[in-house]
Order: sequence, then C-alpha cells, then structure tokens
Amino acid sequence: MSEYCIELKNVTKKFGKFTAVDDVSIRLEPGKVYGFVGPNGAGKSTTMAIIMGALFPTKGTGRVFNHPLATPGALKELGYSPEFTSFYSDMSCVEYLYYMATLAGLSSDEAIKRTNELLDQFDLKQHANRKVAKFSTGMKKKVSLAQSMIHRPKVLLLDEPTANLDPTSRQEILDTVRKMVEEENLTVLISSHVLTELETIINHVIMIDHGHIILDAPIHEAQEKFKQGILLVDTSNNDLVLEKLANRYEYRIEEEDIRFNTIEIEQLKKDIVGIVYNENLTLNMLKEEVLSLDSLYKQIMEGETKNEGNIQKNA
Amino acid sequence: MKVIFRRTLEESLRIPAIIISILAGVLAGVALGRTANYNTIPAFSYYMNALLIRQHMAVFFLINGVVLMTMISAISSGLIAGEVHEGTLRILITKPNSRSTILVSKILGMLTGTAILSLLALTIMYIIEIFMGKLDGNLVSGLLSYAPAYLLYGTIVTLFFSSLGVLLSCIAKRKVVALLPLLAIMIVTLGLPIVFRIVMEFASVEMSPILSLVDLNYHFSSIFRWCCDLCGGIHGTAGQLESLAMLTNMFEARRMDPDVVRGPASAIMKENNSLPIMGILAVYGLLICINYLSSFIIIRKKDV
Repeated sequence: MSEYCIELKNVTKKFGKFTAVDDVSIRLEPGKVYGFVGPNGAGKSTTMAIIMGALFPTKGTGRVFNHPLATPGALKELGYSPEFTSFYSDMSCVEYLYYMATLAGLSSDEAIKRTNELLDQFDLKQHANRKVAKFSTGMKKKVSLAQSMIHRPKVLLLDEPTANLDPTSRQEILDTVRKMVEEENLTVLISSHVLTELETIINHVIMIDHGHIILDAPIHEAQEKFKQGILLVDTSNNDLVLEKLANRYEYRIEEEDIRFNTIEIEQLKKDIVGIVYNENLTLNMLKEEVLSLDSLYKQIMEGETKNEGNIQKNA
Repeated sequence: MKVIFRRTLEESLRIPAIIISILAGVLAGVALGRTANYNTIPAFSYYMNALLIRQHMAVFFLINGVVLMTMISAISSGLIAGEVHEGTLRILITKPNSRSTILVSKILGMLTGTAILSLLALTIMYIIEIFMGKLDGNLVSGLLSYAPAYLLYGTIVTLFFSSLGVLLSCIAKRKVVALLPLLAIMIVTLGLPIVFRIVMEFASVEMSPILSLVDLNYHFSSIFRWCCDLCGGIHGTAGQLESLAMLTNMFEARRMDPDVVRGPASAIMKENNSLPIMGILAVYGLLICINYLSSFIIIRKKDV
C-alpha cells in the first residue's frame, strides 16, 4: 500500500511534436496542500488533466490511492475543478449539482442531501434555481468547486480556482478552500498565478516550467533553500550600527530601517546583538525576511531563464 | 448508468424533435387519408395495395426516411462531440464512471428517444390516415399489419445511422463535423440516386448492375422490402409498383414475352435482386458492429 495519495512516474505528454509535460514524477502525501505554480503553458493543467484521466500520458504511469489513473476507483478519490468549467445551459444550479451527485454514484436521497449541504456551504442557496450558465464568473467558480466536492473526494485538484476573479471573490474562494481543507482533511493540489494568495494556504510547492518539475519541496524548505539572507534591523541608533558594520556587510536604508543583505546571516545577527549590548542600544527590530512565494517563483524562474541562456550560449 | 440515460433521453425528446415527429405524422396521415377517400373502388385488393404502396412510400421517405434519419443524425452526432465542444465532457468523465458506461448510457438514451419519436410519428400517421380516410376494419387491419415491418426497418435505420453518428461524434471535436457526413449519406440514400435514375431512364441508358454496390437507396429500399416481406410482402399491379420502383429501385421492370402478351410495351414489375438481401443485411450489420466497437475503442483512449 503506497503512502502517497497521488503518484506520477516519469509521465510525458506530447501533443503532436509539442511536449507539454516531460518526464514528470510527483508524489502527493495525504493531508497536505500543494501549490502547483508555473508560467502559462508550463504544463500545470495538462498534469492535472492526466491525474484526472481526461488526458492519457504518452509515456509513464500514475496511481491514485493505488488505483491506476483514469479508473473509476481512482476517480472516486478525486475531485476536480477545471480552470474553465462549462455548464449545461438548461440546468439550474441545484439541478447541476444534483446531476453531478448522481453521476458520482450517490443515490437520489443522498444527492439531494449533499446538494443542499453544498448550496449552504458555498452560499448559493438563494441562487439555487437560477441557470448556472448565467452566473457571474465568481459564482461559476463556486459551483465548480462545489461539484468537485460533491462525492466527498479525498483529493481535490483545483486548476486556477481564482483566475479572472475580483479580489473579494478571490479571497472568498480561498477562504472556502481553506475551510474545506481544515474540516475535511483533504489533500489539495491547487494551481494559481496569484502567488501571494496561494502561499497563505499551501504547505508544499511544486514548480513546473516547460513541462519539467523544477522544484518540489515543502514551502519552508524551499524558502530556506532560496533565501538570500536579508536581515531587517532597527535600533535606537542606526547610524552607530552602520558605522560599525558598513564596511563588512552590504546594506541599504529602507524607511529608516537597515536592510542587510549577506550570506553570513548568523554572524551578522551576533554582531548586531553585540553592538546593541556593548553600546547599550535599544533593539526595536531584528527580523530575517522570509522569502515570499512570489519572490521564490521569480528567483527560480529567473534562474531557469539564465540557465537556458547559458545553455543556448554554450550550444 | 441511469442518470446519463435519462439526460440523453430528455435531450432526444426536446420540443423541436417532438414537433417535427408530430408534423411528419400529420403530413403523412393527411396525405394518405385524403387519397384513401375514394368513391370508386374497383376491387378490395386493388384498393388495399394502392393504399399500402402509398403508405410504404410515406414511411420509407418521410417517417423512417428524412425525419428519422435527420433526427438520429442530429442526436447521435452531438452525443460526444457536442459535449466536447461545449466543454462539459471533461467534468462528466472525471466523475467515477468508466467511459464505456457513459457511452452505453448515452447510446441507450438516444435509441430510446428516437424510438419514441418514430413511434409517435407512426401512430399519428395511422390515426389520421384511418379516421380521415374513413377506412373500414379490413382495410385498417391490412394497413396496421405492416406496422411491425416499419418498426423493424426504423430500428435498422436507427442502428446504422446512430452507429455512424456515434463513431463520428467520438472522433470529431464539433457536432457539425460529425453531422455533415451523416446528412450527406441521407441525401445519397433518399435523393441523388433517384434523380440519377430518373435522368438515366429518360435518356434510355441501361444502368450497370455493378452500381447496386454503391446505391445506398437500393440497399435501404431492399431492406425495407425485406421487412415488408416479413409482414406479407409488397404487392400491386405493374402500374402501382412502377412509381415505387422509380423512387426506391426495390422493383424493376421486366419485359414480358411478346408471344405471350400482345403489344410491345407489356412489362411486369419484378423484385430487384441485384444484390442478395441477406448479403446487404450482413454488410450493414457488420458496419453497425464495427462502428459501435470503434466508438468504444476511441472513447476509451480519447484525450478530452
């Protein structure tokens, strides 16, 4: 029995001559929220579609809770909300969710009960009898999320759940996802371009570019690995601190705080504490800057671009 | 998979399809009822055959022809391609059901829907024909005795066109791409060969029997004749059968021995057996199986 809920092994997907996903291997552990990030066309949606059985890999295999991909056993464990959800034009919200519930194998009574639960949970009750196709983008996203949850899957795959939404709707969707994760102990693979929001809910990041996985690590490990050693310092006499350290460390002044940039961060901390102690200063702030997902993404992607440039130069 | 079956059935029985079926039944019924109201009846069998031949033509061309073929083409071509184009198939296949189950449910829903529409048109045709023509019991039972033949022929037409429609629907990404070849086949079955035959007839050009191999009109009319044969056959005088022959190629004129019948133009109408009916049925049966089987193979491996 595999300890992973989703496991992809050397999966490649080609569309004609174009390779959308190239030798991708990923493993998702239960109960974690994975952020799946990468530029447009990197292969995020294709990878998700392969896990969901909508696309078949050209090479490689995968399993979902030990079921081969695209089998009813695997699909039973998965809930999927695509980037662009299409709805039947003749169905109201309640009809659509009921249809999805019965499709997922729920009996009629169970389907009615579950539909009502989700209408409540997603705050859609007052729109239940309106045609989904006429909903706003935000509400359609909610319905899409609700249908992905209809059969109580153990793993959720959310492809750009906040794309094209206004900030309020984005926050609403993310709050709902966060709540679902907490209440139902779900494993979630979520792709998004809005990285500042994504980092508030994920605990693992998978980065993909040109079909290759370029980072697959817990978010704190990734931040640790790529952090640049930035220390924000504020004392009762910043000039004195600078006088003693300016010749040893790179720095710049930012809103009256000193922003040191060094790879010897531990030594810098000791030096500052020493100065504060010896000079009898007040230490207002000593804060190591945490690398945001956005910065992490930029760093890695810039690195990738540089590497590509080097490769091209070498070639 | 009840829910997909029900949804496909509902989609097949949409208001426009029901209206078209009713209109086809009314049109056929009125046409048959009006001509049935004779004042002079030379003989029962003559009148019966005349009524039956008109009824056969109405069923072959209208009810199980243009209407059934158009409806089955429209419904089957959208079965998968329509959902692919609208983007709803991706969600459908990510629910825990096998793709084969989804396709079987859709096919059964579609076949049930078209059977209901076909029955509706046929029933309306019979009702109007009988009441408008003020037909007596013997005539009514004679006309009704061919209903099983019409249903059997309708079933064969439905299976063939739907199998092709489903196959094209599994291949194409848009409904219209799957629909056009089906409509072309319908035109080739019910239109072009007839025009071609009439032109050749007027030009007094002898048609090569080899053309029977590609004459879809002849194939389907032979199947129709075979279905009618199971219910008593198609009978009539040479004159009654002549128009049927011109439009369907299921009969052909054979000149009689001038020593037996005096006069140069004497001919009788004989069944056109250029191709053996069992051979035609076997080929179409095989095509139906291949089409459905291919559809299942394609849908199981289709990227959505």
